[in-house]
Parts: sequence; structure tokens; C-alpha cells
Amino acid sequence: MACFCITLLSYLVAGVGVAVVGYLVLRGLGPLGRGFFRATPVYGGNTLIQIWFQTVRIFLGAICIALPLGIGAGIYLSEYAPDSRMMHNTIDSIIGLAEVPPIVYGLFGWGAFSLYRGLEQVLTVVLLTSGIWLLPRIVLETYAALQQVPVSYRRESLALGASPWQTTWRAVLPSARRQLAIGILQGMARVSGEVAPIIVIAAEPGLGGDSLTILPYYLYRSIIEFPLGSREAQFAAALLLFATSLFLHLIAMLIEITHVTPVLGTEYQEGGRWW
Amino acid sequence: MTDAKLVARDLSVYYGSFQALASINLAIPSDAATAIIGHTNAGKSSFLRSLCRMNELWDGARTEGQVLLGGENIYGPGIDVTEVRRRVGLLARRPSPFPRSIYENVAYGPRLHGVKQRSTLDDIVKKSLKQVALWKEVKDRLQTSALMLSPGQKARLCIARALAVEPEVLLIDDPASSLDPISTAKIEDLILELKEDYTIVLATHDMQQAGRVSDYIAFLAEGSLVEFGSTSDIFARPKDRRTEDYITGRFN
Repeated sequence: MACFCITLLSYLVAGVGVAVVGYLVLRGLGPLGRGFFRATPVYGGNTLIQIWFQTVRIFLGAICIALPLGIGAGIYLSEYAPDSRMMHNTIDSIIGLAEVPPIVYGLFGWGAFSLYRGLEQVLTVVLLTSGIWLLPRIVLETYAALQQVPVSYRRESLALGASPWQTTWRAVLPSARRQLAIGILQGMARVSGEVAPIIVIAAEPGLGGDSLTILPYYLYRSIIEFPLGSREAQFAAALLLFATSLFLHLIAMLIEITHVTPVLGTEYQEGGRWW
Repeated sequence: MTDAKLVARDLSVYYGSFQALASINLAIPSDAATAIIGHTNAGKSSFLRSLCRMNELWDGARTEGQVLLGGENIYGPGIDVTEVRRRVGLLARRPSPFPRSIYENVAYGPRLHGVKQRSTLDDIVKKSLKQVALWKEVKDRLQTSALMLSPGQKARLCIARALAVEPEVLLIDDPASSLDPISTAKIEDLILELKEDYTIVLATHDMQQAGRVSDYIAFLAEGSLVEFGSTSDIFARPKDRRTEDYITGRFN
């Protein structure tokens, strides 16, 4: 009976998901497919495709800020930081930071970059805030991916005369790159459609938030401020946003399913550090 | 006895407050196979690891005393640890190839040490795999994953990987621990061949294996060196009662 209930619930949840996506596709695919968004300005003189390009640009910018810093910090914490109470506290703090609601990052970005640093360009503030918001997630994904690499690989590499850095670069990172890519892509997918931090920043009058042309923000503004606006464009925008996030998830899934698990001689190997 | 390649002087190893090795003094002859025998937790693996400075990677490990490699103390100031580890190769108890191709596994070491030219790498890979009698078995699938090899082949691949960096000494930790008898026999034949050119130190708890492949035997008990001598002497005339008991299987 319990099994039946759980199965029923699972189908219900899945059904709701399929219904939402189905409705979105039904309403949004037409306008997207007809390609009218290419010609018709929908917001601030920009067409939907221009808004989408701007979104991708900002998103890539944020990744460029977060990726080197996040991967570097993850490598340091996993491979080099002394195994101390402070290191564990640092990781706990980063876990906490990754769980902080995005709107708080918006407040932080607005306060730190706009109020305190006096930055006046809304795009710069959004870019920096998004980068900082991505950072803890990338640190944690990197740390988790590296910790899954068996410690024996590190020892085997060092035993062949490799330096610790050579071991990290040539033995640990290549063994973790698949997991690393999956983790980072999933983190990016979660962040890609988020609007909360941007709303906080754009609400600052001095920043000229009205000129902000980012897909999730456009969607928010068009629904809140112009409830009688073009429904077609809104559905097209929502579908585009959903597809962008789904695309990142799909790449992560593809990487995951193309991984061939060795069958012969697979043994449990302890993950972790080299000491 | 030939010249000593490695000399341990008052070598002690601690893990936190636990003493795993107590003032070991032992000269390991060059171009011969020396078996370190003893029961579980006698300190065999710690001894092997301390001969190539790998022990310091273990949690809370501390080493005292000296290990002379070609007359130079590897624990002395200014010693390049990576060079020590290149000269003294350690093969772990469980062979653990990297999750990449057979070729890349063997080429890993030479690449670390600056070999970039493809033809040179090809030659090293071929030579190393031939040395461990694996070339014929894998020459047509060098680019397939090393993880798909059988446990015995993996063990030989790891030896080939170690030989590719041209070590002077090979430390082999319990080569039969996870292998079937046929694979073990192949590894033993390999050790017999390799000891012509390399100094080999082998940790094992298998007396028959020590008898088959080694020229010298050192018997460790509870972290102390009980007896060292040629294999024939140890088997025929053990000086210490504990050695005799261990050889005859009465050790408790």
C-alpha cells in the first residue's frame, strides 16, 4: 500500500512537472518558432534575441570571474590546506554561503559595489554580484570532485617522483574533470535563471535598472509592471530561459552518461587527501 | 655480499605516539633481491615506505635516523624528495593504475621528468612493457583504459610504470596480496629477471615466496630487526629462535 502511494505521488509530481513544461512549450514554442521576436522590440527597444544574447554575455562574464577563483580555492582546500579545524570551519562556512538565498547576494552586491564602491553601471554591479554568488558553489563542486579521486592516485604519482603540484595537475585534476564539469554545469544551470539578486540591484534608482536587459529580469518586469502586455512574448521569453537552463543540465547529463565505468577489477578505493 | 645500495641507520618510524619501527640498522645489497619478512603489523610496509620518503605522506608519521642511498642521507637537508622517489620506486600493495590508457600510464613518469618527444616516449613505453612481459598482451590496445586489465596485468603495468622512470631501487610491497597463483608466479619470475639490473626490496609474509625470489632475508618482528642474512642461511641456520619459529610456521 505504502509502495503504491509513493508510486502514485511520484507520478503526480512528475505529472505536474510535465504539465508545466508542456504548457510552456505549447504557449511559447509558437512565438519562438515564428521568429517574430527577432524583429519586434519587446523591451527597452531590444528584441528577445538581443536580450538573450545580453543574458548569456553577463552570465559568461560572471563565470569568468567565479571559475578561476572557485576552482583555485577548491583545489587549495582539497589538496593543500592543512587538515585543521580552521580548514573544516572554512568549508562549513562556504557550504553556508552556498545556501544563502540569492536575494541576500543581491543586497550584498548592491551595498558593496553600488553604495560603498560607488559603481554606477548596473551591468558591472550585476556581473560582480553574480560572480560572487556563483563562487561558493564552484568551490564546493571542485572540492567534492577532487575528494572523490582515490588517494592512491596521488600516492602513485608522488612515488614516481612527481611534485605535489604535478600530482594535482596531471593525476588528480584529469581524474576529476568529468565530475568537475558536471558539478559546475549544474551549478551554472541553477544560477542561469535566477532573478532575485538582479531585482535588488535594479531597484536602486541611481543605477538605471530600467535599462537592464536580462532575460529573467525582463520576464519579471513585463509580468509585474505590464500585466496586460504581450503574453506571447512572455511565454517565448520563459521558454527561452527554461531551454537555456535545460541545455546546461543536458550537457551535464551527457557527460555523466558517457562515462564508462570499468567492470573488471573495480575495487573500492578510499578518496581524499594524500596525507 | 655485494656493495650496499641502501643503508638504514637507526631508522625509527612513529605514527603519533605509536612506534612502528625501532632503530633498524640494515644494509641492503645492490643488484639483488632482499625480502623483508614478518607477520602483519611487523613494520614491513613502514620500512619500505621510509626507504623512499613516502612514509611522510601518512597521517602523523615521523621518521628518525638515516637512510643512505648511494652514501647520501635521503633525510638530510637540501635533498630533493622528488629525485629520491624517482630513484627509489615504490610499488604499493594494491596496484592502482591511473584511469587512462595503458600507454599514458607508462608514459606518465617520463613525461613528469621532461620527456616530450613522442618517439622517445614510444620507445620507453615499449621497453618498459617488454621488461614486465606485458608487451605481447597489450601492444594492439595501448590506447584502451588500463582499468580494463586483469589484476595480474595491472600489477605488471604498475611495475612497468615504475621502471619507465629508470629507478635504481624497486620497493615491492606484498606483490601477491591480491593476485591468483598464476599471476603471482608471473610476478615472481619478473622479480627474478629484474634483480639482475635493479636492487629489489620485497615485503612479504609468504616464506615460500621469499625463498623462491630473494637472495637475502631480513626478519622483522614488532618493528625491530630480528635477523638478516642470505636466504640459504636464514632457512638452513636461523640464529634467532623467533626466526626459526616463523620459518617453521610456529610463530604466534
